[in-house]
Amino acid sequence: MKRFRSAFPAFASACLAAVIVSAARPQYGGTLRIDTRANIRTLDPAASPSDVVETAASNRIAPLVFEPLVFVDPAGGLKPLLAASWESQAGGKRWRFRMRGGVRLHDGTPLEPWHVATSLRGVESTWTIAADGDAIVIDLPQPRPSLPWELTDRRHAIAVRRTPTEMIGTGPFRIDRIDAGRVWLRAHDSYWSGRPFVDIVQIEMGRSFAAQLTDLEVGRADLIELQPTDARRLTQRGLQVAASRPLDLFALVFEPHRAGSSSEPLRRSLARAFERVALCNVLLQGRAEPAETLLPAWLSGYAPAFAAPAGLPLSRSAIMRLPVDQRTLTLRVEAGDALARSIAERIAVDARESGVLVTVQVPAGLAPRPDVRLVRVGLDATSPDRALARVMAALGSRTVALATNEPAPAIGAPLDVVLRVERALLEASIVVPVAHVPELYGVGERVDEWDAQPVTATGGWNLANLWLKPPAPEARARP
Amino acid sequence: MEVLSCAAVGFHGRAPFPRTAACAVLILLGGATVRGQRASFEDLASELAAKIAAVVAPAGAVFVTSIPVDAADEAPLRQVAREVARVLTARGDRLVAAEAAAVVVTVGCSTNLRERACLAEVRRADTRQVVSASKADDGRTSADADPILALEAVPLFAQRAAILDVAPLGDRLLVLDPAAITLYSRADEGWRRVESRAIGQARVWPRDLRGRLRVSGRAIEAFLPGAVCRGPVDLSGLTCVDEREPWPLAVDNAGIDAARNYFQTPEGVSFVGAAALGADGDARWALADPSGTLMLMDERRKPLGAIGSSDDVAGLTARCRPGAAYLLASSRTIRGAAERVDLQADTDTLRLLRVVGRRLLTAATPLVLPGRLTALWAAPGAGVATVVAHDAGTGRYEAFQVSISCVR
Repeated sequence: MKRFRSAFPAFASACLAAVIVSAARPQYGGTLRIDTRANIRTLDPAASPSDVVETAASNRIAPLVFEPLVFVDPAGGLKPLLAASWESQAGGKRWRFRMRGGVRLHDGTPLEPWHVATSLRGVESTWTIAADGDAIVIDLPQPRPSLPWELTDRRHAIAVRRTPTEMIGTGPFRIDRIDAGRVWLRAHDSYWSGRPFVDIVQIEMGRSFAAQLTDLEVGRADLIELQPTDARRLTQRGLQVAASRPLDLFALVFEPHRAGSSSEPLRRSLARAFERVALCNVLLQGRAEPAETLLPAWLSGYAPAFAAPAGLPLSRSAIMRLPVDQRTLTLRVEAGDALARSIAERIAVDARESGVLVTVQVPAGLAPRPDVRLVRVGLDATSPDRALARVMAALGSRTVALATNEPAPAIGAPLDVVLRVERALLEASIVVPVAHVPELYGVGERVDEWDAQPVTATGGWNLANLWLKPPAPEARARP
Repeated sequence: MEVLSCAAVGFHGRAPFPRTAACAVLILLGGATVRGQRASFEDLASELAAKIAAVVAPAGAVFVTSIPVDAADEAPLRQVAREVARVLTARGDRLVAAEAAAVVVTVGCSTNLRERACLAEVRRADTRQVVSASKADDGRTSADADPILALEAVPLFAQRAAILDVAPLGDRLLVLDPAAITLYSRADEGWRRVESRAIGQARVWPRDLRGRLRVSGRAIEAFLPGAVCRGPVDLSGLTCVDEREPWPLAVDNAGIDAARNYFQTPEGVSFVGAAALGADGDARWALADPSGTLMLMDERRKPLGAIGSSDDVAGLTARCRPGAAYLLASSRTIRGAAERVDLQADTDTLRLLRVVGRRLLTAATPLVLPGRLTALWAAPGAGVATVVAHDAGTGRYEAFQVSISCVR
């Protein structure tokens, strides 16, 4: 009864590999071309992007270059990245992170704990950070039991400044150059987790959704940002659509003059007036989820029914008895957001059925004061306390103050506190969730992936695992 | 991914044939992972119940309900709701219908990126209070919390005659075949025959003969269609009688009729194999019926519906996941997988499955057998199953011990 435990995996891998060879084995080399709407000025983790589009793009590109100590595992929990392990003392006032061995910076030199300490000191002036053997020790003015979660933020990624303008990191790609319209990244040959397959990543910036779609279809781009409304067009052409979990919230936000208690029944009626499921299935082509709450359940960890407001809407006859000016609302959407405009128009149609007259306004220059806005809020794939706090920050203090007196949940707050705050935010229907939408990408024909999807559940770009298929023999033969 | 999956499977002590076969299946079925497993909330139930009890006045009329985030959370959530109800009734609260309740407790459990959590809303007149219990999932992806399960097959014995069942007894082995029960002892070169007793010379067995061995201390029983043989382990004085006895299976049964190959429950439901399920959810058993349907049955052995297909099924437990019940189910190997690595298409595949709610989830990479499965037996609650496969190419039957190995 001799066991072949050790021999079998090797044999199995070998025979599996033999079969893969006949199919397609990942190949090294080539330039992966990506389009984005954003105009990225810098990938410095400590810099603040100028707008939400640049923030979103930077959050995807910067981690390819600069890595944090720990990261949020798309399957849940934290995983070590540059840190191999960590421990806390004094109730979270002192933290010790032991560094992963064998990590090299983009210039080939080993990453040392003092590099990490210097980088973190640059963004956290109140922390005392010191290198200690193969570890760094962080002493905090106040206990932070959830410090590892904070260290997953992009700004805590480790960047080593070689000159005032040149920064290097440890990620799978290094910055080659950034000019007005493009970012060039080059593969980090001695990346600790294995060299990426492609040699170069070329990111074309400032491309509209329509231009990106054309680029993908004519083979000028390999990976593009995609709107849900265009997903079917790509799949019908046999192209792949990659998606994260829902990471965008569309919500209605009432303006102060419509946020009083006297308007609450009408707000509640509008919140119930539109068919979220149909909106997600038809308009958004099944690529979105109806939202009753600010955080989708995969981020909050509770069913939407717990947080959704309990009050009843007005009946249609009750709405029709209201003076016309009271049941007439101007709904504003951002001028450049075609998806938001489509959603707003759908809401307007549904609302009319309920007796609420909604006019969609796309401001171009001066426009009358709106009653309600349709906003798009990016969600952070992180713990529920931090995710809700970010949503509140994005909604703005003015909106939050209209909705509730509750402060944002403290970092590390338990789930019942997160639920209480979210429920308070939604209670008066001043903020009305509409839909949760994933980040979508169109993937070109020559892109293949090894061992993982191009985009993770939490939205990360898995570019190190992408490889480019060589042209088919007949295509190569063409002049 | 495929390479990792392949490496996670062990098929031990075999010539290249089954190893190649295992690879073939991995290529086609390599997408199956353990990631589909749902979180359990059992460990949060007591804490949540205690917190609810702290905010509900004793001796009140309470209605307990639950809201799952998705269908797969239903079964574990029901378990938590039951624990809440138990704690409340134990201290004098009355469980009543919603209309008669002074307090409504709504329970929900799910996961987020930070934790597994259970919440309860306690609603009393116009007031709503929320309590929660959670467990950080920082280690959810670590090996300790989420071991990778793999099917491990150890070859035990092979012969040209059909093997109905085998029973390892330390360094001895009992083998039941259509003609005899034979006792072997371990020798350098393999197994040495010690004793053999003929069975059923005067009997006409069904074409698809099935048999089962049960060893209790120093006594053995051999169950056959319409017959039972009994005697000591050394086979002296073994006697066989014509009687239809219940077989030692996971579910109550009336044995196999002398001319058939399937069992029946006391209620008359026919099945070829059965596995007991855990206590979470309303299903208590999974049964493979003679048509190849895998169906669930409740505690009164009432069918709850089909959840998949399987030619045979047995229950299995994993040491690294105490309390969790797994199904070892067999089905025909996908033709393409066999052909791609020059296997005969006439082979079966073993799958390790879990029943969550009323869904089947794959728990490990499937394992290709070196032929058609002819026997699949496991004692209730056992960590090892006996699998016999018939390799038509070599014309021999081979018995394996299959267990779940946990890779941490």
